[in-house]
Amino acid sequence: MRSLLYCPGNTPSMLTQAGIYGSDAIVFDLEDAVAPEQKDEARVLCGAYLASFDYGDTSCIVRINGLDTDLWLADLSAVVPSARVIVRIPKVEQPRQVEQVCEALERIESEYALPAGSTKLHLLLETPQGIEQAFVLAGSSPRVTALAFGAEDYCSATGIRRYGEPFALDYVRSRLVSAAGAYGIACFDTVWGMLSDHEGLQREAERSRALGCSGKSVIHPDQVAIVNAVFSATIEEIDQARRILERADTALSQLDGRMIDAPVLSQARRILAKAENGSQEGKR
Amino acid sequence: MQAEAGYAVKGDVRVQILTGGEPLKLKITSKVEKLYGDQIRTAAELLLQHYGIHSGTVIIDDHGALELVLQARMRSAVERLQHLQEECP
Repeated sequence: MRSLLYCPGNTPSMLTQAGIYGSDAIVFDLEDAVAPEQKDEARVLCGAYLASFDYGDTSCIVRINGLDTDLWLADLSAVVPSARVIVRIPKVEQPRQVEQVCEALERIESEYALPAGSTKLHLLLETPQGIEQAFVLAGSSPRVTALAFGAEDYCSATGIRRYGEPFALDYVRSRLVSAAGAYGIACFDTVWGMLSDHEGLQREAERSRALGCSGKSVIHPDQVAIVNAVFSATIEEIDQARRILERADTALSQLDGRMIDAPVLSQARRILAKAENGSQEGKR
Repeated sequence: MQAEAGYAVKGDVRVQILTGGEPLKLKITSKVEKLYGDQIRTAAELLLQHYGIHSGTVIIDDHGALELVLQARMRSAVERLQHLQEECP
């Protein structure tokens, strides 16, 4: 997945159109984008869309309410039976929280005769505690297929200016990319909240790609094409990957002066797989 | 007692259920009444039957909602009504 488009969970007109903007995933938001008095009808509405609306190949993710609320369990019960959803858990800090959600998912999957373990998880890390636990969290369950970074709360907690110096969040991105890489899962960068600053979005996306992120969450349809372009393999990268793999079965161990060894082959395979499938998400 | 769900905005439908009074009154207004009025009424009647609502007044203010949205809003209104009835039997 290159782009993951957030969509408010209680707005039918947006839910109906969410699939037409070319994002690799839609994130149905039951958390911040829904007012407290609308939480119940939002989860019913999202459940209905997930059960019967055709989003084609676009992946469907639901950001449930936080585990510190009494809402998340009802959120899961409403959306998991559709059997097509990835659950994004906000503000994860401890493996015990992932266990809690996994236990609930086991019960729901069993009740609806879904394959055990079929509902996957994205962990949204938004606090210094969560960031520092990234490695443990990435390996906390086979259901976890991605880590995602949420910058707003993190910046608020640490005093980092969110739209200040571009290097300010390099540490966090590198830490998450490394933790995700250890388990062969994806790592998604935070949203860019300056809606009219497309150049800023492009620069930030390029920086997060350079640091190893697999894709980026977006909050407006206008941001999708920019992020897709940044996180797609270039023609040159694809061409080079093909040439490297062509050499894989020969005794030659160099291409254009570059040594070809197992990691280089692995990277070339990854580039080609991603080029063939924009929604590729990782080994799990 | 009364419960409602949904909003009077494009692509949505506002469903209000008011208890009391027989027979059941179903009032529908829709931006697309000429084209889809009969379809909306049929879908609404089936839903009311499904939820066992045979009395009171149900007001549907449709703004071009898909049928799945009508289903979701009706379900939410019914669940909210049930919740109210549990709180104030």
